[in-house]
Amino acid sequence: MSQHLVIGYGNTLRGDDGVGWHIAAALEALALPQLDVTAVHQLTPELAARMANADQVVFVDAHHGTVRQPLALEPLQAGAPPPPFSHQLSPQALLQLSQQLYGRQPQAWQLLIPAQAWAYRHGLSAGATAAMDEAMALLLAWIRREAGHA
Amino acid sequence: MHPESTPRRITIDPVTRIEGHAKITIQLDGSGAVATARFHVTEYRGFERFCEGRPFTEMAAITARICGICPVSHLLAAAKTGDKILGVAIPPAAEHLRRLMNLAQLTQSHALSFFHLSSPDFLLGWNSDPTQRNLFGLIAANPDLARAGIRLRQFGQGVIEALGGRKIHAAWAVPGGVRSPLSPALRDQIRAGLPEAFTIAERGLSLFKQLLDTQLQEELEVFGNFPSLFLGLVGKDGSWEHYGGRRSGGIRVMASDGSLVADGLQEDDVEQFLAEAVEPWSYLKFPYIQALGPQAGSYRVGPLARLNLCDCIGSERADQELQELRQRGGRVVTASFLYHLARLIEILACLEQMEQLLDDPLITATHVRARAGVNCHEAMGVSEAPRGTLFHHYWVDANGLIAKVNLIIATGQNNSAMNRTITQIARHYLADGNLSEAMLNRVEAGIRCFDPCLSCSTHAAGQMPLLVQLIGPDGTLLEERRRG
Amino acid sequence: MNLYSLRIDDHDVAIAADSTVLQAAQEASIAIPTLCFLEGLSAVAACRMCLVEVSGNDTLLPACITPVQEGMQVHTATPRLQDIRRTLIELLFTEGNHVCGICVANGHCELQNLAVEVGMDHSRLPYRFPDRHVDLSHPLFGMDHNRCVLCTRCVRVCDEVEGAHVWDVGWRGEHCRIIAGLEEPWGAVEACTHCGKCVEVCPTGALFHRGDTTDEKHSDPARLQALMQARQQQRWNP
Repeated sequence: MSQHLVIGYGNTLRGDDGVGWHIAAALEALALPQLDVTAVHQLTPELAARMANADQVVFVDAHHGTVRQPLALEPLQAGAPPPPFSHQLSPQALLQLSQQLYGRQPQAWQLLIPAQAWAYRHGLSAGATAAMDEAMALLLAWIRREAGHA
Repeated sequence: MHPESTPRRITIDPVTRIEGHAKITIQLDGSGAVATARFHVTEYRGFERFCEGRPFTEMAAITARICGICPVSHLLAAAKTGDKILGVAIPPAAEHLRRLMNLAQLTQSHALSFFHLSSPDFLLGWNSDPTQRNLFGLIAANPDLARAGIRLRQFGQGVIEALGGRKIHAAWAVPGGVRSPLSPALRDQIRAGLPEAFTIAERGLSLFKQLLDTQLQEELEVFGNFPSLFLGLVGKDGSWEHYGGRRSGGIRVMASDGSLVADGLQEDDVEQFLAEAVEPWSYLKFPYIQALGPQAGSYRVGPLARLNLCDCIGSERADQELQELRQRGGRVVTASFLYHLARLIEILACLEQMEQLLDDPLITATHVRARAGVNCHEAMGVSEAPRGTLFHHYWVDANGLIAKVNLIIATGQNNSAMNRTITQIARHYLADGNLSEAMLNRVEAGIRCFDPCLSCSTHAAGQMPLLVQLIGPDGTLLEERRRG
Repeated sequence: MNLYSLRIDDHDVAIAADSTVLQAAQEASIAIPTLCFLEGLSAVAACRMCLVEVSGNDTLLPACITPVQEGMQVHTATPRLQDIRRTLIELLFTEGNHVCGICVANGHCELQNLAVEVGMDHSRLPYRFPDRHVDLSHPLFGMDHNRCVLCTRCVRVCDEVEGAHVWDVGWRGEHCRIIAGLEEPWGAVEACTHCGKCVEVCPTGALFHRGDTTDEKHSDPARLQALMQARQQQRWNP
């Protein structure tokens, strides 16, 4: 049975930074069979063990640069070592870890959500809310297509 | 103007994922030697805003979300502050359970620091290709080590989930105790994971000690080896302490000659005892012992501080390692590079103390929560987080709504020490006023000794490289390099 | 007893003529989502969750207060209604400050449950982030206006069941909020009997027991129904 994993991450106390987390939490609440979902504050090495059991993974994160419109899954390759003082890894680094440590890595994409508001608050800006709507539709279509269920 | 004869500034600016906007500047004097080096943190504070106007009972759930690496530390500090607002002594079983969770937190956070973040610093050499001098290079050299680190993190996470549940651990510790007791079945499950965790910890220890004996001599001397004060909790009998509570011997402050600057200090008195300096170039405040001033009063917290402060650890294997540490570095170890060794020893101590707690029948007792109303309007709570002593200070109105909050975090308290460390490294390795990869590798590694946590910031993607800048006295950019 | 026959979705229902469409639907085991409605309290149709379509009538009608009529054809789950219900829940979520992760009612919240029921996995509408406060002046209970959806169950239960009328609705429009007494701190309202019925019927975490932390509020509106039944039938032992 093929395994699909969505990892959404971000800091929910920093406004739109948490949009990836919110998307994963919303997907998790849907409890779709065959979809493994995790909402985390940041990416840490043990996620590589979980990824090694998946065939496909999508990373969902906020992005403060220019984001491709409309939203789209962008293929990811393993690589990109972690930055010097960071307690978190990039999706690319996790893929590499998964490969190096467990001998396999899932096919991977990232879904970047445009975000503008980084204030210290709960909840999303209007722009991120609209983008989350689009992202949810896109992810649900993805899982329907890949795993053959809604 | 001649660059070689005027002050210049070198800036290392790791802004990847704008995590804390940390950067390093190295200030050169007119002769091309390093005057000072600074670790800048330009984004940290602001979480107080969430708290004002909220019931104090929510503080644990709110503050546990500040950090993705050490949520339990804020959780426990918030709950302990809440206990004091209620004015209660929590049930002994609740204290046991909180201790168990903190030990698991220390274990998994130290595992991340040692096995994943810092190990490339010890194993791969300073002159190695920067594209290889990282976690991947480490795994290529020693995949078992990285896998073991993940196992240790999974073990710690498993304990935290066994106690707090997968979803609700953010609010498991509450003012007055904890929300739910530990079932015998889950206790046994935790116990079953201990042997493997011990094996990993001891493997890490023997590997690292061997490296210290053979090739890391210079690092001990140059990576932040200076006399300073150390601050942290100790147990009633002077033993190693991470939680406080009934076993607390208060806060101890020790000088590097082993003399006690303070002992048995209560957390309520800490804010009178400390002062916080503010610098225009960093949002992190610089706490120091008020009576001694910002220089002489600066101190270190965290694993090495806790091991320096205690008279013993209180468990067999960890005490043996503590003795070895003191043979290596003296009764009070001043070499910041040994923070790494201190983390490993603490992991061992955590595992041993977890074992002791799990063997105590009280650990599955079911009375785990005291109830009371608002009895105090101001309270200070303290807990030892992986990176050091964490203080939560709340002021509440008559009904328990938060009026004001102050958080004194470990990374802030190590701020001065981090700057002294990178200054020492830069002075030693900066040759001819030029940036070398080897020097920059070491400066970064100097910061990593303290495992500073900046993960409370925004994390959004949008990759920016690490910038290394050489800036002239008039602000012109003389040299720029990208890292990461 | 005068009976009316009507058709709700695919079911034929015969029910007493003084019934509402909601009662008729319940009779036919057709679930219509409700929020402000609570068995045992008067119906006020404040939340509009129970809107239904009635053939021959362009206006959507709230099932909780619409009387049944002979031959009525009711549709409870058309795509239009489903979209309206989801939008209503989104409006409720975005109108206040609902942070489920730290809320006392998390996991036991009628608003959360409705969000699942209507398929709202996220909001399509922007959040308003209103500036609201928490009233912890009462010795036993608390009121967090950030989590209030203005269903007025507390107002009704206090007035109709307890007879104390501590709660009412003050102000208008976006400033509308539940007030205690004459807009006083709850703890200052002497009429309050400390019975806790308002907390028990509150569908969200707006009203809670002081000292409750995340996920700890477990309301049981069925207790109100047991009480009302006992009073009406004068039978106090179940």
